[in-house]
Amino acid sequence: MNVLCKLTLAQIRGSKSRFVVTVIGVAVAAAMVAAVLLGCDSVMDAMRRGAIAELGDYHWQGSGSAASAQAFENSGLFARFGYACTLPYSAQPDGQPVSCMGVGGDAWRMLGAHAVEGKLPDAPGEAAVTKDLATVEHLAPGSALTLTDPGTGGSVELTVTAVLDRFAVDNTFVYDGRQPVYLYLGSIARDELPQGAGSLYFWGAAAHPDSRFFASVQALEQRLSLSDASLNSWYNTTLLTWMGIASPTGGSSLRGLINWLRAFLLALIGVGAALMVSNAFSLSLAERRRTLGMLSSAGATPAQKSDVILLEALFAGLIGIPAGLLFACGGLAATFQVLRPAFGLLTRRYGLGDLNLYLVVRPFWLVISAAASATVLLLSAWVPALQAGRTTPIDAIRGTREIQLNARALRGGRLFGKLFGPEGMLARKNARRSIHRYRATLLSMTLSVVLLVTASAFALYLERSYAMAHPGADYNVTAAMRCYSTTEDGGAYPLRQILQSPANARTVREQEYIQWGMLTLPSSRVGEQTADLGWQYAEDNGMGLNDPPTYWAQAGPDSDTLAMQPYLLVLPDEDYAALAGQAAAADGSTIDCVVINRCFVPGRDGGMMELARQMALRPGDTMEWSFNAMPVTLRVAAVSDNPPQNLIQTWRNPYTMTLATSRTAADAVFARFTAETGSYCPRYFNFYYQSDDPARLYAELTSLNAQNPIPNLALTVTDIQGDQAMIHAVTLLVRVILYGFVALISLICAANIANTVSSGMALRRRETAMLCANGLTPRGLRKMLFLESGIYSIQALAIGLPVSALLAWFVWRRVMRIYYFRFTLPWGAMAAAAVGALGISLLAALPAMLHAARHPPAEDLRTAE
Amino acid sequence: MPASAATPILQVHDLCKVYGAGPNTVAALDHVSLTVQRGEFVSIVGPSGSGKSTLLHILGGVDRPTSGRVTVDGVELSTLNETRLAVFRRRQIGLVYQFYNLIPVLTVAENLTLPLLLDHRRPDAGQVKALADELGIAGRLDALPGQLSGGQQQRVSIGRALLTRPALVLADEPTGNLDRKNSAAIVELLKKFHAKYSQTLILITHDPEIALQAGRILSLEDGRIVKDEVVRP
Repeated sequence: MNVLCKLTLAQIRGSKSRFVVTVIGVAVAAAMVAAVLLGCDSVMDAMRRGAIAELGDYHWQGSGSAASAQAFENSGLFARFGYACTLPYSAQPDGQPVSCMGVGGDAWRMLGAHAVEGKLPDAPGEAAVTKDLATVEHLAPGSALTLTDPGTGGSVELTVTAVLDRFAVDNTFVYDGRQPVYLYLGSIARDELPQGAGSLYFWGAAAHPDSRFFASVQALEQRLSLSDASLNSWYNTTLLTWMGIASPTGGSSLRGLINWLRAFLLALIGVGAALMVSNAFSLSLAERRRTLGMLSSAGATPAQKSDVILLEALFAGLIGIPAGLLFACGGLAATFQVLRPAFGLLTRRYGLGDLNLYLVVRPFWLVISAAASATVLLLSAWVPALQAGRTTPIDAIRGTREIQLNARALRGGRLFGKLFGPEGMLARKNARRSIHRYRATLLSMTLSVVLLVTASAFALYLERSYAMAHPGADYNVTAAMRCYSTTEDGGAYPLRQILQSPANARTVREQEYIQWGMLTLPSSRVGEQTADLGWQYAEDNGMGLNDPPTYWAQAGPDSDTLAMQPYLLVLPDEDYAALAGQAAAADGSTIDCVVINRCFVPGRDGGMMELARQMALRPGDTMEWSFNAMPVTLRVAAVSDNPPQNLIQTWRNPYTMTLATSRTAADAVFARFTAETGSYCPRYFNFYYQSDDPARLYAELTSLNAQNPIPNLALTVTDIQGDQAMIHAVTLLVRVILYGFVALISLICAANIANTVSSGMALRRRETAMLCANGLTPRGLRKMLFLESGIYSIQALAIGLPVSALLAWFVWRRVMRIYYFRFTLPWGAMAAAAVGALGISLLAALPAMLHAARHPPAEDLRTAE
Repeated sequence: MPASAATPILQVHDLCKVYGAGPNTVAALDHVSLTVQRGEFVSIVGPSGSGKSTLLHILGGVDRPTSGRVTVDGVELSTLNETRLAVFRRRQIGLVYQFYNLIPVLTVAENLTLPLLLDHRRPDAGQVKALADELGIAGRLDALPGQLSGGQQQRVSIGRALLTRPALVLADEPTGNLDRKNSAAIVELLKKFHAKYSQTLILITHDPEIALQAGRILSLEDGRIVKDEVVRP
């Protein structure tokens, strides 16, 4: 071991705590780099598996003649090659209708065929059937299956060898509602295919899916297309994208986004980590200035002096990088464990199948992570190492570079002096001795605060928005039915009866509403703000004054009347009477109603707002309702400025008015309409269910759609609980990812601050001793150290919280465009940010405070002199 | 000498300070006793390692003796805990060092008023200006220490020690880092303040000429006072 190595090790032993903090910094940096790279790769791997399950494990697909397929197969470009075509056979006259597919080569494997029973066909005369067909036809491995051959009029005898699930070959072929039967296809030689076989499709998995492969495929295709006009081909862009490969036909935008995101995160982490590690080495350099001066006077070259710093970086890297990689793997595995259900739920919801998210550790990415971390470490140590090389004996004697003071930065501190006394002023000035280090740490800390609060705000607003979409939340499944008559309209009556009492619902609430025709009323009866918003709505939606079929004012601003769209809720008679204070008239010509005079609409600034006193209607006012060709008069029985929450609606168009009437009154109008016109007006029903088993209820209700294909009747079912679970999954994903990021940045900040304060203390021993000699009490010293550390938190909070509040407001504006809810700040997250930031400061100051307690200032004064 | 000169401001009794342990034990101070009257100007001389600086640190309350007593203005320092000792120092002791020991992040004005600031007292602007005028640094109050010459920095250091009118001013080789011209100016300044404010001044020096400016000279060797002579009664 040479003398420089010995010297470096000795100095590391002399400042163990600083070295430990440096190693922690390197480890955290390596962990973050590895987390980004391995995390991205793991998610991409999950998506890749999803793409394989959904589409198949192939890179390229073609269709064309058997000769073209054979040319591709024999080109040597593919590691696996498979093919399939429709065959002309059909079922026996007494059997279930089937579509027959010939599948050969590696197509079974590439397209994900999996035998639930038996083994996949691998010889002529063998076939596989779907589970559904096997159930209907009572087939099992070993069963005989006879199909007719329309071409020859004869029949084909087959042996079933496998029962299987539908697989990705079905993405290519259409069966017209018939069950497929998959036959073994041994060869694609034209003369060996049965007469009447359909177009041939083929799939290939590249031996090396790279640009040369793509170029070769394209060249071959061009050559073959001269003799095969039907030749066509596609790339499996989805799979290639998730493999990180750009195909010539697309997927580059998603791949670019992923690469950009990965590069952005790496750059962010790299810069943060470099600042932290560089800070540590700058402090190391400052500590060693005298030693370096001595080395210089003894004849050490600049390179030898630089080596002292670089050797420390090497030792820190040898410990920190492997530790960081291990930490990243452990952290990611735990994080994925937490995220797995949410990730699976989301991928199922978006039709990507049930993707199992788990950590994938490929040596390539481990090596890249280690190399990136080592690069960050080397770059961080480089400048301090160069400075070490330039240290002269005079620098060391005079200590000229021990403290780099920026006069401008050191002028401040008066406010802190007023707030926290002289210790505050000293702390503030000490913290800003190196303005670059100060700003870098402050920026990281502010970023943590902003991320934490904004992520919490986003999650909070998402949940609030969803809660507003379903006020009351006394249901977990909803269904909506539209029909023309509940008594005469085909299956509407039995369907409504089922919807009123499904087997799996505990409680049911039915709500009918009518949204048809237009109301005409005096324009003076529209609220001032409503009129204002209505014109804005018209402008925003490009509606001219002469556009007749609109839901806004049909007349111009000078007209005395205008048209509005009614939304008439039909309440049970007793509920209506309670709301209106009287029963409704029910003569079929005049309907008594209550004006629900409050709603949510888009405001002038684009966000949703609560519109109070939407209308200036008074009890006794009347409005003409063009109920198709049959006029009906709506008479205002009462105006409810503060209606029950579940009656308040959200409208895009402020000229939509919510009204409520009684069942008897509404039915009288429906009866009159049918009597006078001989037809029915549309009826809308919403059903709100509370179920102990929402999934089963959802399945029960959705099956009604399939069982009751009734004309003029539509049924939509919403799984509120499923939606809620998805919202929770999204917010959980956002929270875990962003909070994890915040935790890592905070850890770097804490290590950075602790390093700065502790090492600053070590470098300022004489100053501190002088302060003590001039009467700074031990408590005052602790206060100064805590404030020196806390200044980062105080400033980060002072900047970060208002910025977060502003960002939260922007997030709120975006989210509440879906459903209105009042703006509120995520106070809990803000308090957590404040407590966390101050906690980090206290922890970061602790080593320096303990050191100060252990070493009395007089000792430093004596040593310094 | 003023009327109060007969009162002892400093009493040192049987003071010992031992560093190290076992065979490496070094006695920096070996049963030192002395008394200094209020308003006296005392020089302490002696070779390197004789215990001058150790004695000064213990007198100033920045170091604790191994045994013995130090009483400053009637207060025995060993009875004070760290906090009360710090408060005592900021109010009763003024320290001047060879290497100035100014706080580089504070301006000249802030360095001058540091003991007052630490005592949460508002400095009297007039007093600060007057003192700066006397020190010859009136135009540099907003400068940082790094922007001053060595002589100017030492003037600030002296000003800091004198601003609170402490009972005792202790100067540890205040000219050791200065050229002859600046050294003479600093000594003149110390003498001037001693005369003007009747403050008790104890000064450590290697320079016999500077030592002779005092009224009394104490000579230390191997941690003991070997000579105590009054040169200017």
